[in-house]
Amino acid sequence: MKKHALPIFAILLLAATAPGALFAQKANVTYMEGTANIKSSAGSLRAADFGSAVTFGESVITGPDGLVEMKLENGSTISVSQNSVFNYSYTGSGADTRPILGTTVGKISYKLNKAAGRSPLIQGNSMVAGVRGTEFTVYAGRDGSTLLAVTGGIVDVESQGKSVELLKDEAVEVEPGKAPGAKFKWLGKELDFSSWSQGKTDGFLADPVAGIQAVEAQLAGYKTALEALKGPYAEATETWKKATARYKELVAEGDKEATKAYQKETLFPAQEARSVLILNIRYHALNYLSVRRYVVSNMYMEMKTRYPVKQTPEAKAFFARHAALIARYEADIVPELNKNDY
Amino acid sequence: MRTTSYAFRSVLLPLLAVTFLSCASGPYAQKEPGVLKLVSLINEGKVSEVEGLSPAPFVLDTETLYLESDVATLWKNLKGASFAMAKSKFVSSKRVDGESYRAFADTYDMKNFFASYTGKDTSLVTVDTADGKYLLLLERPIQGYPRIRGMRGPIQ
Repeated sequence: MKKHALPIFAILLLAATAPGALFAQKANVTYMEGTANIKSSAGSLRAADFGSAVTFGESVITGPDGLVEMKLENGSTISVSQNSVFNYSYTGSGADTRPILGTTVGKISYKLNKAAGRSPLIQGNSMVAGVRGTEFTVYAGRDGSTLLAVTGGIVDVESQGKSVELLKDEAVEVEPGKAPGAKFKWLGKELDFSSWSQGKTDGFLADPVAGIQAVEAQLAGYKTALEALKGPYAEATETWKKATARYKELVAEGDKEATKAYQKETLFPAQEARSVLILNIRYHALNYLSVRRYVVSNMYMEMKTRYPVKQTPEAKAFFARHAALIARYEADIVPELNKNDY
Repeated sequence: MRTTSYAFRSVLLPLLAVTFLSCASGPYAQKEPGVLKLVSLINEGKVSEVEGLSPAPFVLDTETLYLESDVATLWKNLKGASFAMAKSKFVSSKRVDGESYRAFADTYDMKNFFASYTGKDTSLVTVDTADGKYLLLLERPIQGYPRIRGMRGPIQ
């Protein structure tokens, strides 16, 4: 059974070596119904259609009548149900590029074949999971909870440093900011997602302050993981600057052999170490952004539309926490984002 | 007859073309009657009509709703809460510019939302009500009603 807390996971990514985009796998839309959009990495929306390609950095957003089925180059399939958001991204680079299949909102089913490179990472709002050629469904509740149910194969679900191994017909629920709950037997019967999702929303509305506190804990985990990388990043930047300066000296000295050797043994590794740290910092920042965008926004909407003018003390307490959360996001996470992340 | 034909081709036709093109591509500014019609629709709780006028992504105060189902829930819940913009008065309408996002929130999300999803046809409209001011982000009308891209308020 694997046990990877998020910071450890981030460190594992240090093995990366070259730009991941070179190894980007496309997910091609093979079937669709109703309305669905693809959100590009630059933030623009385009209508999904048969044959549309979804690439790293893009999201699929389905409407109330939407269904999108996609196929990866290795034959794996991804089925995005109505009112759902699928995020397609990656970590690492070069041969170590690892696709991330993210279920941010709604219900997404995966049937994954064994990949030639690294197996994909399954990302939910409250957990990550490793898979080994398997079939499973991820449900994302609007309170930040995730439920993962396995139909075939093995899935390792991880959150807050704890891991649960799921076999066929087993499922687990992970609440935001918490370790995975106890796994339970999944009898192969389709979960009534709308009832589960409504239950999550009802649970949030019953105690909105506790609901937003749970999400705060989840986000604090992302921030801690991100902050832990800032020291190594500063050191890597310093090393890289020194290596660059020395490289320039060697170039000026005109010793081509020594320059080439220095480039290979010192400069390139320094560049790579730094760029991988940048990718890892962005991984945590983008996870934070995703939860802020699809979970926190929805919580705010649910509360604001129930208390549009007059607010109960509980609603006021929720809105105060929400405002503080947004302020922290602006101060801590936005500096790590660029406008294309929006 | 020939003179009329010549005049039509050389003067009237280009004039009509210019008029038509300017109507089609010129910026659209919201006017009081259209805004108040939309406010009435909201106040009457005509959820399905208002929902049809509200594309996703949609801004609510500082938040962006990306899913159509969230926008539908927004209007359904507001109706459930008997929300109305009581005693509403049109105050102003101005075309959205590079700084308009600050009227909703001076944040990364609002700055990028306005950059991505508003344009020359989007107006920032202020409506005064019994509970305070509301800011509405409105776009070209459909069947006589402005499309609504966002809402903030009440601002005391």
